[in-house]
Amino acid sequence: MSRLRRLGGLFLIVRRSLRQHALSTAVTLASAALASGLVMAVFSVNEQTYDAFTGGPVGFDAVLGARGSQLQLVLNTVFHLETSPGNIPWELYTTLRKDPRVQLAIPYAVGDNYNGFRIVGTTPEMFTEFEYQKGRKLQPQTGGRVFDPGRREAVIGSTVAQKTGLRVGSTFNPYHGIVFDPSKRHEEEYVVVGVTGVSNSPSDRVVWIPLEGIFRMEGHVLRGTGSEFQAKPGEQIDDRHKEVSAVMLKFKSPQAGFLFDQTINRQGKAATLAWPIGKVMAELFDKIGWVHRILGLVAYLVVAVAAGSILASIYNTMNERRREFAILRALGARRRTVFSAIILESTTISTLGAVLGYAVYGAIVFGAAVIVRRQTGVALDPFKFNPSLVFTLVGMSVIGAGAGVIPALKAYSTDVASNLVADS
Amino acid sequence: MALARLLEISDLKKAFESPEGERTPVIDVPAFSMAGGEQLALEGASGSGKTTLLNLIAGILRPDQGQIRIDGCDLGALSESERDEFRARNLSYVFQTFNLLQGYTALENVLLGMMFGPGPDPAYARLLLDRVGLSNRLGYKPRQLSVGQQQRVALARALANRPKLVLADEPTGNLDQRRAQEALALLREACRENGAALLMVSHDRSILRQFERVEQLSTLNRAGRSASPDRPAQESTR
Repeated sequence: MSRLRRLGGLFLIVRRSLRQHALSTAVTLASAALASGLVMAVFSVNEQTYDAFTGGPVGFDAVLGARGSQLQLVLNTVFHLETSPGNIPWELYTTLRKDPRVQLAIPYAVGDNYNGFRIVGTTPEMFTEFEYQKGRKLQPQTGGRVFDPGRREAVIGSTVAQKTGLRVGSTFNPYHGIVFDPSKRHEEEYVVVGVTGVSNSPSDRVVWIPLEGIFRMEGHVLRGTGSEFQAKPGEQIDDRHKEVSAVMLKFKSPQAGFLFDQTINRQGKAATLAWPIGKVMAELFDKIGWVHRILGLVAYLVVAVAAGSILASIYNTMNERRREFAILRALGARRRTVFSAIILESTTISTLGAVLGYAVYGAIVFGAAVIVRRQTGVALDPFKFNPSLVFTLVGMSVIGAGAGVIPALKAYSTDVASNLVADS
Repeated sequence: MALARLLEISDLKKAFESPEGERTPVIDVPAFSMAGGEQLALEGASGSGKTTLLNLIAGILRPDQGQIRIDGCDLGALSESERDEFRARNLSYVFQTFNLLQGYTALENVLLGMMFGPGPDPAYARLLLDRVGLSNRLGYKPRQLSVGQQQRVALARALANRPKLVLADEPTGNLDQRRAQEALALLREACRENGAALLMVSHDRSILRQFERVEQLSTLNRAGRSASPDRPAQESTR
């Protein structure tokens, strides 16, 4: 009972002090909120981007592309970033498609854009067979359909539809290259026949057209035979001339991936197999791990500044509060009671700051989610649980308590007799 | 019937170190006592050791030598935190400068007087403030109150933990004559009603003459005859 009483007294002392020093309390709370919000955001965004790029809604096991960098291949085909490392012969695609170890092989041909959104030439299997997540396909929404591979038709991702205003029935002209340049407009006109639902994957930012459309696009040259070939309108394209940017693969078993890796990467020289995709992306994150470490360091520095700010703000009030402590002692408060009051005060500031930090965290992660989604199509979830959301709150409380020790010691050592200011 | 002794002081000595490093005796009281419920005034000039003596009795200062017994309890045998607890439960202090906590309302100041002792009793705190005529000023902070009202809050706080002994250090020193008399009457009456003894130090003759028992500090305190500083800068409360 007496402990409860003392606790009630402590809370009254803390509440009054916080109110009495409202401005410095507000500034300190803001710095604690910023610090904890930043720490939580750094950890959460890092984990979510890592998960999204290494094991998110990719749907394929491997990518086969031109000889070169596996990372460039993955970035170009899975995340629709970077440039294509080159083309591979059509024959590689047809061989893989027939291979009994391959469950799904879908060709990609890239090199054009519409208003900055990548155009990918592919086959209807992309919508009928491919699952970007288990049981989830890139199906056109109600009112739309998959393109006819023999026509100038397109299926667009949900973000493309939202940003460009294209909808089923709209027509557009592709632009050459992966960067939008109004002067490089192709004459071929495509009609949108489907808009895919939101997949929260890079596919939302893609304009899908038939593979044949890329082959026949004005100015496109096929070098499947080694010499240049441009198809004339209505002319049948012999498979020898055809080439694709990449083949997206799904294997029937993990062993198949291992065997293909051995055959294509270790023994062959014609192409590169990026397998497994998650591992390739994980290597990227390993390479740019220093960015995360620097961000983490910055966040920890902000936490240190916040702790210093809590210490300074309370310490600066100590001189004016000596008399208050002396009066409390004269009323019967123990030394450890005033010590605890200061520790409780600093802990309250840091804990409240950490609670407000959730708003800062939300703002940062929402902002990051918008940017990441705009750049890659990958969606981050600000409400997704991350252990840092708990650890930061606990950590900030402990740091706050620690920051209060020096001023608390000062309060502890307050001399009662000389601070009561009673003249006689 | 003789009243039981509430306060007994024997061979009490306290000295402070001057900036020059000399030990200057401030208190040297061979014997002093008060009965329970008694009201006693100590007359002493400035620098005669009045506040130091009250601080020693309150357990805020520790004597160099001698014994202080309050209600049979030897303060010297208690640890610092035990003295704090004892003070919170048995004693209260009224200061010349009131020493109200500025960030707290009148009611909270009185409640804080209870917080470290018997525990907060808002109803009793309100009753006390009502008794001193401040029932309509419960939520006022000290700076919103007149000097006389602040003194009355200090009186209410002093009685909040139902003390056995109230120590009053020139409690009317900051009031004009009329208010000083009113405050004194209120304090004495409240102490009587609560059965608390009152030990008051003052040099104001008009205040002193109202007490049946007035002791000269210069007679009691052998060290005070040489007049020493009352507010030592280098003393700790240990």
